[in-house]
Amino acid sequence: MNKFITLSITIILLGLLGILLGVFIGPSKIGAGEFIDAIMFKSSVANNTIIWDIRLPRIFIAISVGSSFAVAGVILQTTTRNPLGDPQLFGITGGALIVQALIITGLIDATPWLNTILSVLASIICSILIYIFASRETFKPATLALIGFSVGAMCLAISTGIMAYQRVFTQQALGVIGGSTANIAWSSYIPMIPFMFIGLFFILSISYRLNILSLGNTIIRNVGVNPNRIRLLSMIFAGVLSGSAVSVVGTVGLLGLIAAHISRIIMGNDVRKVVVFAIPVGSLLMLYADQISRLIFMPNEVPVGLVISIIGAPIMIYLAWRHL
Amino acid sequence: MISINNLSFNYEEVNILDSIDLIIKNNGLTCLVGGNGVGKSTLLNLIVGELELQVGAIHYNDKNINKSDLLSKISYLPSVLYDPLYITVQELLNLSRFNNKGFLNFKLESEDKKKIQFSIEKCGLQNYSNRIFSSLSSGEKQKVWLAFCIAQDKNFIFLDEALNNLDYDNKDIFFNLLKEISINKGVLISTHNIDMVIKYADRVLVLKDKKIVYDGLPKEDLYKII
Repeated sequence: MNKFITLSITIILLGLLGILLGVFIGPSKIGAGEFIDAIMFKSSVANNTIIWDIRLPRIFIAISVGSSFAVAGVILQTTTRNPLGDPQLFGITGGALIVQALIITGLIDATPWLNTILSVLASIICSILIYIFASRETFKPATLALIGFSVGAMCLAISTGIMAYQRVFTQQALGVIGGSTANIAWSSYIPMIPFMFIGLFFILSISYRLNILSLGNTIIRNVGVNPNRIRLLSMIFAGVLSGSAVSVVGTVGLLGLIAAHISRIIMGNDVRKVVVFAIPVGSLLMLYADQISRLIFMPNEVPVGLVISIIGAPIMIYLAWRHL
Repeated sequence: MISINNLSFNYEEVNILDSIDLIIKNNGLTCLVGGNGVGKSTLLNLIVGELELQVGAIHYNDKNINKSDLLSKISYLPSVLYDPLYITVQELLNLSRFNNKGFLNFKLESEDKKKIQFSIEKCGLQNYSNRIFSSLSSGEKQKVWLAFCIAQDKNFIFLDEALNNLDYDNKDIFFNLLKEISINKGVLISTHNIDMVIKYADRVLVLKDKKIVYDGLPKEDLYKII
């Protein structure tokens, strides 16, 4: 219980600090008084816009996207018995990435809701395809990773190709491939919310069953559980979570991988605890990476996905060296 | 009682098992012996439903039974086992009593806990509960898996070369344990350990040339038949 309280306090403090950074620091100086006025729409039009339409949505987006990718990562690692589990590495976000490329080039004219729905569907299709390829004979973790990786690489090539063919600006293309939280309107973010809650609710409600997936198929069947059904369902819901996140920010590599490992190292072995704890871990990682992405070369921005990769790779190397 | 009638199996056009008839009783330690690649694992996998039946039938107490109901009577350890990542011995053994009671977790009733505790004591794992499973030696892992089967407390235990990584003393201890368990469970183990078979088996099955060529008491010149 002591550990729980310490962790909760740390999370809340880190979260508050991240939010304060996100609200107060930026190219335009906004003080505490102006912030409070702006929150109540009483400041100047410029300040109101900066707070409400530029800085606050980013914070919400970072938190939602971070938790979605992180939970998807935990689920993939557990269901496939593979420490490489990550929505991007496993190719699940590939379909959604192609949808983003089609939308950004104007080949599909989509409202934000349609964008999210198409991305989620594309991710679900990728999940199912990868699952079918990987489980034709018997389910092998390595096969799944190889197939997922190939599907992901192909989707990335297709979406880059679409953007190159349509001569999309580099900045926009980087935003989709590298992930960006900049200049996203509330209306683009809101469609993600229901999908996020559906995915999280479903995964939390089956997470106790996921503990058993680490045993190997024969033993799983021997305790009376159909391993492939749980795997397929989990992959589909990992697709729902990561697809809806991609529809808002593009792909953010490594986030799911890192958040899942950090969460497991802190929480131990029980999948339920790891899933729940991945939510704040993913949110905080994304929140801070986003602050770095917008502040480091202020007023220019680096795609947040690249920041995650740059700070994530050393963390991952350390974790692999120390804990795997 | 599990009865196997006229069971044949081909793997990619090659005939592995040819019209096998076999009855496995509710008690007694049966040892299945035979050379490498003779089809011991195939036979076990067919009975527990890991492989689809091609020719033949399996009955339980002389009645038809579907695959999942039959599996609910048999604890089975395949010859290749995956190390569950990250979990402790105690957590692994808890999973042996997995069920769908409870909302956000499966619920261990006091009976479940008793059975787990019993298996821990029987297999001498008292000091292992909090060890991470994947950090154990291969012999220790086999002890834990056997405890897993004992905690399941089903009518039958089928083991596919499940004790082959134990040292000599431990083999003796664990075959003795299997013998003890087999008073009220049907235990079937495939093994290459003829010494132990001769010392402990109630019944020996020799599989050779797609058939069961010997079915009877253990005898000293067993190795000649194999």
